[in-house]
Amino acid sequence: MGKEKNDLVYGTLDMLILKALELEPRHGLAVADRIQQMSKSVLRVEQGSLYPALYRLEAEGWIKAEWGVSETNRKARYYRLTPAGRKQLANEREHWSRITAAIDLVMSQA
Amino acid sequence: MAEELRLHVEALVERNIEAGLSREEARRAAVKEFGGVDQIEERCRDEERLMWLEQLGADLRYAARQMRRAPIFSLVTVMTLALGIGANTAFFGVLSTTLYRPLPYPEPDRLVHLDERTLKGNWTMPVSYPDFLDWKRLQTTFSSISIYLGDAMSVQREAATDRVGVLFVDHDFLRTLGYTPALGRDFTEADDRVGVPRTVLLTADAWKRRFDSDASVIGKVMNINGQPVTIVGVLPETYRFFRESEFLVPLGPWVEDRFMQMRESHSASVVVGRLKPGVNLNAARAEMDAIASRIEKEYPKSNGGIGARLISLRDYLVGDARQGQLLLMSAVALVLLIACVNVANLVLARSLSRDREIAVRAALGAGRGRLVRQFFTECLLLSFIGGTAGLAVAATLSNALVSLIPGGLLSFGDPVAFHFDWRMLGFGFAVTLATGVLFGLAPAWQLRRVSLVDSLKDRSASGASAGHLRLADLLVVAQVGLATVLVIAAGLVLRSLWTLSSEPLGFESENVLSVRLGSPSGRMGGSLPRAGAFYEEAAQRLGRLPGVEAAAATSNLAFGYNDSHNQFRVADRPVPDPASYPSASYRIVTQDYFRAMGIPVLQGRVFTGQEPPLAPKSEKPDMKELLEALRQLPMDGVVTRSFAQRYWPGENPIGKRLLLGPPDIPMSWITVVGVVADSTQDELGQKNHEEFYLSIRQLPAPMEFGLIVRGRGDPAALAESVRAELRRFTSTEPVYDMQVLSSRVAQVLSGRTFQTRLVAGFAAVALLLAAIGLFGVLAFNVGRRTREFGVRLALGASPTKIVRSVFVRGFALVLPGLALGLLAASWCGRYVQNQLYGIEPTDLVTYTTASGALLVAAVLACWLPARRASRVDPIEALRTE
Repeated sequence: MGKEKNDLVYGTLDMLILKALELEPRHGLAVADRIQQMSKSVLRVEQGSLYPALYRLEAEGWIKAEWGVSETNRKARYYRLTPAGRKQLANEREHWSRITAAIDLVMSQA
Repeated sequence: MAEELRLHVEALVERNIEAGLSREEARRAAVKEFGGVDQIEERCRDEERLMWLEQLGADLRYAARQMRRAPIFSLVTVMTLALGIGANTAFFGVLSTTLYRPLPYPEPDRLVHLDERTLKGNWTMPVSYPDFLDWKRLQTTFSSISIYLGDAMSVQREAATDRVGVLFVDHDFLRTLGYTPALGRDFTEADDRVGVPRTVLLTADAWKRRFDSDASVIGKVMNINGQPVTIVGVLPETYRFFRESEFLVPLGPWVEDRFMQMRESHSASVVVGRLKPGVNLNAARAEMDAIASRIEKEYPKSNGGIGARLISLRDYLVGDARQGQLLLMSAVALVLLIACVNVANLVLARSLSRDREIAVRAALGAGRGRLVRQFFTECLLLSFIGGTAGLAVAATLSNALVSLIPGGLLSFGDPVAFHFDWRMLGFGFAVTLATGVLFGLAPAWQLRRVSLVDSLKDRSASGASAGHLRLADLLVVAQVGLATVLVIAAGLVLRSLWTLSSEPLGFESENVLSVRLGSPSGRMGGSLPRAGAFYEEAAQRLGRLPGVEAAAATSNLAFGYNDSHNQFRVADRPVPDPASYPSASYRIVTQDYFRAMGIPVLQGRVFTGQEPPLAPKSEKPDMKELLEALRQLPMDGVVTRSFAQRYWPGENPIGKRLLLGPPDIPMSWITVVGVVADSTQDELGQKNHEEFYLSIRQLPAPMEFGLIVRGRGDPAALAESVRAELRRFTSTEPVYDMQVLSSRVAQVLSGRTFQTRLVAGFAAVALLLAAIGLFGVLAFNVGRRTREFGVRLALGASPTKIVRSVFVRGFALVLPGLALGLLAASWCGRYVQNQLYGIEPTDLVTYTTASGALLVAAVLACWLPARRASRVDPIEALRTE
């Protein structure tokens, strides 16, 4: 996944989705928009990868889905972070900072 | 999920439109951005762990493929399941339709049947009316009790006279059963005394058919046996009792007409009681014993040695059927057991042969859980197909069985509404499924213990350890044993039935027409001699019809229910103790009775029609006057051979004398004038043939008489002329219940025939299942030894030798099974003893025939596999394994 045009690092999509849902429940398109917006349009979520990831996270019990009505008055499935998801997000964030710190360390040394 | 994706694409389209694209372009761009919906959906599904569903599909496909690969195994298993489940469901449905229905009354468990019995010998007898009144007065354990007796009476409405079934009851009868009239009122104590105006309640059915459901009939008067009777009400539709009785009348006003006021008179009436809530039968028994002995002390002459008998109403009503229940239920259980053993065996053999497949699959990475599930799926699929086929078998069999149910088994008059027993279907299904799964899973469960290398390497023996095969063999042995027991049981009851129906009756039922003619005694003001003369004349007129050989009247038509017993003592012997006073069944007949029935006269003569008649002083004598007249009348009597042998062994009975009547009411002296052969006229299998006959001229008892007519040819051809002649003879008394005498005999047989057929049906299913089981195991065995047979054939073994080896193996299982079955059967035999007639439970012929049947089935079951074994192509066999 994610090799053609987006600049998403492999394995980070789940974490980004959890992060996008941190503040409020969102539907699929809004999740993609939020990731794009948070990254100042650097990161673009491949639409085709979004839903499998959402279903995977739901099966893990990190997010929960329910039908609602979107801002454009359409039916949409809203995803909400569960307490377990929140914990997972914290784990991932911690893990991510350690990895990036390590990578920085490696990359900054000549 | 699809909808969510669709909505997402739509939102993208909209956004693109807002960005200024045309709708077409917008859609294309959105789809491009999003990717193929189907692919995404599929990826989502993987993520969502919908895997199990797909795996189930794969399992099912695999199971179906396995079934196709082993068609014999599949077919045999499905057939076993279909037969086992189907037959049991059908038979059980019939049983619950007939024997196991709860009585149709509220709280039926509280209903008790009461009658009287001799304390010595424990013979039951009808309840005398004065005894009943004392019971009713003294008892405290029942909330109410009621006497009842059914009879047919002449009912006159407008010009027509009809014969209608009437139930004489106590005024508490409906309360006891738990009914209230739908219309009008119930009986009260004031309706139920000597001398009060007579009243009647109509059943809903009689009200509909005879009175067009006219509500204004209440208060109207009709005529029963010449007496005006007022209709006081109509029973509810739900009322069920003996279906022959259309009218209910309080017994009180009829007691004298029926000569029931005497304590000695035990005529057809019995008692039903409803226990008070919380009182059990034993408490009621204890109280009734005390009451009976109190009555005994008070009236030692009439009640010496007489006690009360209490059994639950249900046991009383289905009593006879009950005896067969144990047998039938055991048969149901055995058939189910055999089916289970069959399934177990087949599945076990099949899965053992697959240990290499299991090993390969395990080696390729299949987990134990996954393998267990695969086997489970296969069992489920087989059970499902078998169960569905079983449903079809059950439906087909049920229809056939319902047509066999004799009407007499359903005495409450409900039509045969066959009740398909889903519980039984579910039970049979569950049990066989559980068996299949249990045995099917065993090998997969033991996977841990299967050494992959050994299994894969060991090609020649093809797997299964000797221990497992021994279990399969044991199952076949058990199955053959069980089937043997059932076949023997069926053989025993079948032979009993044959003995019973082929036993000489002692009279010739062919060519005899029987018919009942209403009694004129009510119309004739109770004059007994005139009523007797009426029947005598009727018989004489019928005897003169063309095509008639002989005609006669009888107090009790053969196989038409006989409860006429009378006490007597032999002259010139010490007077016996009242408690052991002799009694015998008797018939009152006209002189041609023996000729018409074809009963041979062995010694002396029969009646002449010239006997001095009973002549009471007045036209309408009371009881005292009647007894006076009887005492002064010397009577002629004819006795049976058994009677003569019992009371005058080694002596010439002609000229010997009897004193008729109970100990305290001696009536007439009877002189024996002739001896006739024994004959069975009361019931099949009748053991006691000590009977005597009296002339209708001398004892024209108040009862109704039947007429019999022996024709020269087919008696049915006489029906019209007999009916017409009786119509000419009397226009007021009804002519009814006309039947060829042989069909009365056949009706008595029918209930018994039905049960015998059921047991035989079970046995046939068991035999078939056992054969199928043996066949399945052998066929399987041969299939697995294909390579071995191929090698042996290639090395020059003759096909005959191969066939023999298969037979030897088959019979090594059948013979021990048979031996065990024979042993078990002889041990179980005592439990069916009361169902048998004329043969011992260890009847040699039955045992031999049953063994023969099993051996034949075994040969058939061995034959096909053996043939297949002998035709193995050596090259083919060696190549494929």
